[in-house]
Amino acid sequence: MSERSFLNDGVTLRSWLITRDHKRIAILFSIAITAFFFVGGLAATWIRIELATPKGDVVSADTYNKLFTIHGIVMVWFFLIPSIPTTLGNFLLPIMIGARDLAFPRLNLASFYIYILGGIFTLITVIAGGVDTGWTFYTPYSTMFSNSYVLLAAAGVFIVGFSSIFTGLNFIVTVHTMRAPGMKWFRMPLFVWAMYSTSIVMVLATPVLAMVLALIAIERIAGIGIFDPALGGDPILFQHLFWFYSHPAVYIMVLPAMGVVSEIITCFARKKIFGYKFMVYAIAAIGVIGFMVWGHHMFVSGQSMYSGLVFSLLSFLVAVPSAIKVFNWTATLYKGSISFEAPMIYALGFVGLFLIGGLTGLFLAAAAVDVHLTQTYFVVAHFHYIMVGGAVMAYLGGIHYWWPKITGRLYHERSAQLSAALMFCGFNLTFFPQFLLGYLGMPRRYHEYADRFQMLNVLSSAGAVILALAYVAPLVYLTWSLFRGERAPANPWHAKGLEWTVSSPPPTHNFAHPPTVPDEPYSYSPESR
Amino acid sequence: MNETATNGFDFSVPSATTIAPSIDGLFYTLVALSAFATIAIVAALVYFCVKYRAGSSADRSDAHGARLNIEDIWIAVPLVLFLIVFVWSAVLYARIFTPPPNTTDIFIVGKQWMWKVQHGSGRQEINEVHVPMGVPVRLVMTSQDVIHAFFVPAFRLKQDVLPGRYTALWFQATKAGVYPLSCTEYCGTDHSRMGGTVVVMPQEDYERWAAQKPPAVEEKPHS
Amino acid sequence: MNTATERLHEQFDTSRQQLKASKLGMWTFLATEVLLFGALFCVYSFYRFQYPQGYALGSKHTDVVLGTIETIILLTSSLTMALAIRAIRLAQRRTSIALLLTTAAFGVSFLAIHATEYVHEWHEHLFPGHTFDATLRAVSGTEMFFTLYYVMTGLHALHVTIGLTVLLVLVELTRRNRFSPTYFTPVELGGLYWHLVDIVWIFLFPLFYLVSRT
Ligand code: HEA
Ligand code: HEA
Ligand code: CUA
Ligand SMILES: [Cu+2]
Repeated sequence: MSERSFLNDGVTLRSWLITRDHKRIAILFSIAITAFFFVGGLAATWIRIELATPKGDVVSADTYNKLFTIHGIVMVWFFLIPSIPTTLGNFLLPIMIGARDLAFPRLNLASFYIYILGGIFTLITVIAGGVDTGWTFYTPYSTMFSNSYVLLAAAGVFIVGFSSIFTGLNFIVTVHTMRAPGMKWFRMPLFVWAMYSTSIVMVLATPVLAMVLALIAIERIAGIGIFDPALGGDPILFQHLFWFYSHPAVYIMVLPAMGVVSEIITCFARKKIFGYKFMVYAIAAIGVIGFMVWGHHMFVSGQSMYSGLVFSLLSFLVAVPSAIKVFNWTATLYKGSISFEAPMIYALGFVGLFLIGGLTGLFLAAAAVDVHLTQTYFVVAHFHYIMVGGAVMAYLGGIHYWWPKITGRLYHERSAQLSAALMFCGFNLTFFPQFLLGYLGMPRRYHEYADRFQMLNVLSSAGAVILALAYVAPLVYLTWSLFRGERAPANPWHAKGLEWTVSSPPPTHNFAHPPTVPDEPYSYSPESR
Repeated sequence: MNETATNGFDFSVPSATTIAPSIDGLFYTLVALSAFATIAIVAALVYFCVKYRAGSSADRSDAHGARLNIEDIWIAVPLVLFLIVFVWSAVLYARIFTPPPNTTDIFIVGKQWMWKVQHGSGRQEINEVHVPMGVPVRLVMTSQDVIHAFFVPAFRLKQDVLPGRYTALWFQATKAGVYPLSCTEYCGTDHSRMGGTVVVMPQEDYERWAAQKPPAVEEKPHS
Repeated sequence: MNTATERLHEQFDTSRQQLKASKLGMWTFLATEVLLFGALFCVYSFYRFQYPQGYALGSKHTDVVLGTIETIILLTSSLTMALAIRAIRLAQRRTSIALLLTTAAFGVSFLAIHATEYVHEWHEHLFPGHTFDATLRAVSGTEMFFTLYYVMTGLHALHVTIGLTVLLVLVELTRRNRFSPTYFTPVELGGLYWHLVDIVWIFLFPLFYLVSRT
């Protein structure tokens, strides 16, 4: 290797573990996050095996309950929430705005170790015997009735929350203070906008989660009533506080994905993103309105009818900016010059699956329909469409798109295209039947189910096998490319944006000369292919 | 489940209350709307992808040119549609929440992992709820331990059942029959077994049934 | 004359940029703190609405005299903190150290008084749980009031303790001549934190000591 890059600037393990280079920290995060994805995926595999037959014949009821709980906890807090921000965001945000690093590199490293600490708690929870409350920790079950390791699990989530807060804080400050000359707000790539908006949501919502978990711990340890009605508390209050965090959290998971997809589509369509400013406003609107819809998780909880109606209305309103984004991505293709490398296939897959996930969100936002659909597999299908079909596809699309930049290697294009397509098919086979199951009345979190649901469950489990293969494949060919892949040029996709102006992989301090930004982003033109 | 012959391939769910067809009406409207939106958007995506694929000879002049403010349209159209759906659903939601006067009340207590039922006449039963047809019925429910939820798919209705307070669910059944009932709020080990059946019977039958002393061995009413 | 200047970290171009980043970072952090307490204030209001009598009764059993003294102490400490920053600006290192120490002393006395309150309340069976006073428990909401009282004032006391640690570090740094009239960012940020802790108390005081008296 001739060129100096952040990858060979210090090769000892120690130089990696105490690094403050945002690019190296991004790589540390991506390794940890991938590991947790497979932990969560292993639990999912087990769930789908159990559900292949109506009887509970593979694992016991208690074990099943622990499986979906750990699946939810790991996938949400240890995989999807940190996924794009701490890996792609960490790596790219400073480069995209022309900075040498994040504003607080040590805080960034701390964020990683806090994540690991939280992860250790979670793994200990599993080893000790698991937790069976569901990822939602509903009281009074979680505080007074569960005989599992609720405190350990809550501690893990509590801790990892600080990792989110620190990363968010770091991004906010970096975007405000470290932009290169000429990088005005409306010249920032949409990915940066998405990270910025996500960060604000993380910083404002996560403390509430921390507090709620602390209150659960107090009630459980001291037996002092806060949420348990037997002790004068109100379990609905818990739900309000939990969803006050967890609904914004779903936008923490999808906004970064939208940012990634915007970058990819504009690049492979060779066209300026359609309606840049509207895209920015939409990101902001989702962030803001997202804080006001939490009650849509509680339409049958016993909250008053009027709150239900207000939350229903706001949930429809929050869907409008998402609609704008879908339309704008589509319009970006118009008169483009489109090619279909793997990142683009992932991105198009995202649009389609997010669309279905989002539209079914509207079924749930319609309070009267939700009364029938809530707590069934319809909800499970809804959120997997957005989170797995949407956000995970986008994450993988982003990993592929920036892989040459990050590693300096090219992966095998054909394998990548195939596994993206396979993922799309496997995904639909896994989760589409669940919409039907939900409408037919199969409740979620069920270890056993009525015989009449078996056919659809078998389809879903079969799909999960394909999906698993499609997730293992990138692990194989991407790892292979690390050792055998062709060397990547600085700008393999002929993309625009500051990150493509530096070498692949970038030098330690990103830019030899501080860049200046003369004009708006995405100066693509279809004729120039 | 004992009530229907099953081969794992049954894609229908009966509809047995006055509200159920209304909910289905909105549900299928949403299905139609979503299908339309999905097909339209996917069609546009595919069309553009084919027509403007790299190397095609399609006309790309003025690709970034000014055009009418199309964003306004695609803010307005979804917004209007969404508001219509909202109002429609709000009306139904209000109906679900407002029982008429003079309901027949049945008391239900959920506990890990069973449903205990007490009728106005004093007759009790477990994991089975007999209800009269054609008159408004209100279930007054509470829990002895954690949160449960009372769900009858054929009724298109569900309500959380909380400890320390009462929640209510009202309906007017329209079709005699035996319908599955499940607990849908996660409540611990046997959450998935906390089910039962709802038996809808003509009102006179119900009254006769409710007045009876429960037989020593409860015989299953067959439909 | 003190000429200490800030070390410019490599990711920044100018010290102005670095200062801006530190300040914004601190403000963002304070926002998370506000949300953290905000969640508790919501819980507080939710139950106060539900149990007005219990809250009124509970509040009668908190010590309003000590509470007032604590409030005065904290307000004064905010003043001394502000003066300490001024002193650094004016290059009066010794004054600044003295003022920082005074601030810390106020903080310690706040904690001490609060601790005596806790001890006192423990003896009066005001601690929620099975030792809780039976006649008070009969009025629903009283126990909840005390639960929130301990959780919220306890969390606040934790913040005071953290603030004290920060103050002591600042004293040591000032002693080592690390600050100058042109560079005193850490003191400024420590001050912001101390003011936040103070402001939180300004909200806690009426909520717990003055319910029935308003
Ligand atoms: C990334 C995650 C994510 C995202 C982005 C969303 C987005 C949305 N979600 Fe979802 N949701 C979850 C994750 C997510 N959700 C999870 C995890 C749960 C369950 C939690 C649990 O209980 O365990 C859940 C549950 C959930 C519920 C509660 C269900 C229940 O438990 O009863 C509701 C109810 O309103 C809801 C609604 C919505 C809506 C309206 C959106 C909107 O933001 C969607 C907006 C997008 C679109 C609408 C698509 C684009 C639109 C167009 C192109 C318009 C064109 C169409 C027409 C003109 C008709 N969601
Ligand atoms: C980001 C979030 C995320 C992601 C990515 C996933 C991914 C998947 N999820 Fe999950 N899911 C949730 C978030 C997520 N889920 C949440 C929040 C819940 C609710 C929990 C609750 O109710 O509390 C849930 C619940 C949930 C249920 C409902 C359980 C129940 O209610 O009873 C089901 C059932 O099918 C399911 C399935 C799957 C499947 C098949 C995948 C697949 O996409 C996973 C595919 C990945 C793999 C399969 C890994 C691939 C690798 C291997 C398989 C290798 C095998 C290992 C070795 C060889 C060692 N999930
Ligand atoms: Cu009772 Cu689930
Ligand atoms: Cu939500």
